[in-house]
Amino acid sequence: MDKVVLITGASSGIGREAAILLGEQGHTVYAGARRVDRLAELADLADGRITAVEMDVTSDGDNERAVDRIIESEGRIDVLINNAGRGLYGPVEQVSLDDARYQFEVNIFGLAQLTQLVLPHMRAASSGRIVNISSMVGRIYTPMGAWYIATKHALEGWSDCLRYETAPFGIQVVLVQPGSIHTEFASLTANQLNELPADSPYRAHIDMLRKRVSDPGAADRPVGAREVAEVYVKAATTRRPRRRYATGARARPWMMTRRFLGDRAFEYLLHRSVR
Amino acid sequence: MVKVILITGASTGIGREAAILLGKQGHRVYAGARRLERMADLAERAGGGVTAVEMDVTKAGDNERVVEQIIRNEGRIDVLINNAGFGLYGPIEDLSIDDARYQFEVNLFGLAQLTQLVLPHMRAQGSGRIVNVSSMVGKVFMPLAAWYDATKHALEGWSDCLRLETAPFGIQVVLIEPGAIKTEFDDVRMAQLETLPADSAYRSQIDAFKLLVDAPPDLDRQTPPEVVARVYAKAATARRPRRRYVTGKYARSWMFVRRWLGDGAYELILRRAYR
Repeated sequence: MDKVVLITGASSGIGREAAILLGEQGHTVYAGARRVDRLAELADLADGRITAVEMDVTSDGDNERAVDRIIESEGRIDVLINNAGRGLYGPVEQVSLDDARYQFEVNIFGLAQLTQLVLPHMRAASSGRIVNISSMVGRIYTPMGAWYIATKHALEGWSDCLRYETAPFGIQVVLVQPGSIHTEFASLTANQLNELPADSPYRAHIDMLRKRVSDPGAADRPVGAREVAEVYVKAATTRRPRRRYATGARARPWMMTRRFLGDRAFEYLLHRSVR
Repeated sequence: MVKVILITGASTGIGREAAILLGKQGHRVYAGARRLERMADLAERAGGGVTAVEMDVTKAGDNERVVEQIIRNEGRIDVLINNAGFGLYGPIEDLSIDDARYQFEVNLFGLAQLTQLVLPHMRAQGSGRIVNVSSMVGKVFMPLAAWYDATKHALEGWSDCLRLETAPFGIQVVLIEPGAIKTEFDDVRMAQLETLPADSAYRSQIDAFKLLVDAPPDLDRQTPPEVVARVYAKAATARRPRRRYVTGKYARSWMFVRRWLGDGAYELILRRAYR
């Protein structure tokens, strides 16, 4: 059955690929992003089944306007894919708390508001699906990523609760946990690391991570955005979705390691692998 | 060795008992809380050694003032116990995002600022310890607790990262994961559940949950705060602390089930327990 889908963060990376794939499969896709100029060409693909929506998930008004528009045009919303997100890297001591708060606005509070907006419609329809894009760092941790990791850990527990409380209304909640993916993420991380003070006491850690993200191919063999987008599509449209989809380079092995090994053993492995 | 310790949320519950215990053990304890009048008897009960300080962890100025006071009086700070926190309960759809933001201010951003304030001193000393009080819901999820679970999940990953990046400076980061403890936590939680809309779509879930929180047999089985305070003292002062301490009723069993069973099995067990 064709579904009405809203996907955020659709101007680049996996979100963009997923919007195109969903459109090509015949679904009605509303592709949201701040950079509407980068969304323009999406409308020409997939026989015009993709509608570009200019929205910043941290803006209450934008979120309301986007959901209102979908309900007005389609009368329903079947799937919300909360894909917009960013990473914040740097030592806890040196990342400003306002940056950390903004990280939560983008990665948590924005999607929480969108969720609140779609829930009444989904309850009324007695069906609906919310796909939250977490990360392998929703379950594990890596150096210098405290705030990013905090948002994704938070999203995991939050989504579990959401699933539990909305199940009686026929609403499904799915988490996707991508690993290392070839997107703009690495270059954005490198930019953040470059802005940290030159005399930081955490210099050794920062430089190590910077070296790593500037050449991710060597260490991580990131998978393409398209491959992960296919997992999004499955999570969004399959009749009986799994609760979690781990996908992309390293996600599954790292998460398994974290689950089965104690804290100390995991830390040891982490130190060895990022050295 | 006598340690200089700052513990937040020391006016009630485990924080209060831990401040008294650490004071009795001869440490220099700064006990922080908003309600100064409720800490009037702390010094007496601990036999001296406890200084009550008025502070709200969500106020940047309070946090700065208290850390300055400690450094001015003692010349150092050995242990920060981030204990202040509360649980926000209710269905995601019914709670305001501003309430959720405030939950994060209290349970995460406040302690993050305190951490930023003590880290330079601890780095200069070449030693120090940060004890973050999480919860069993840092690892598991419970009904109607999405926002509370989100803050504690976030704290787990955040603390793991903090441990990783501060270890080279001789700073230790310890997590405590209490289960069901007999404190004011439940009163605060009940008061919140009472404020939820009468016509909430989630009414049956809310009422079922209220019944369980209110059920005396359950209360009787909760661990007394004095028992958990001993774990705090150990985490704060043991020469070689563990990375995580699980303590209190239900914590170990729920965390075990969550770790080793799949999402579906965990959900099923939770639904049976909270029916």
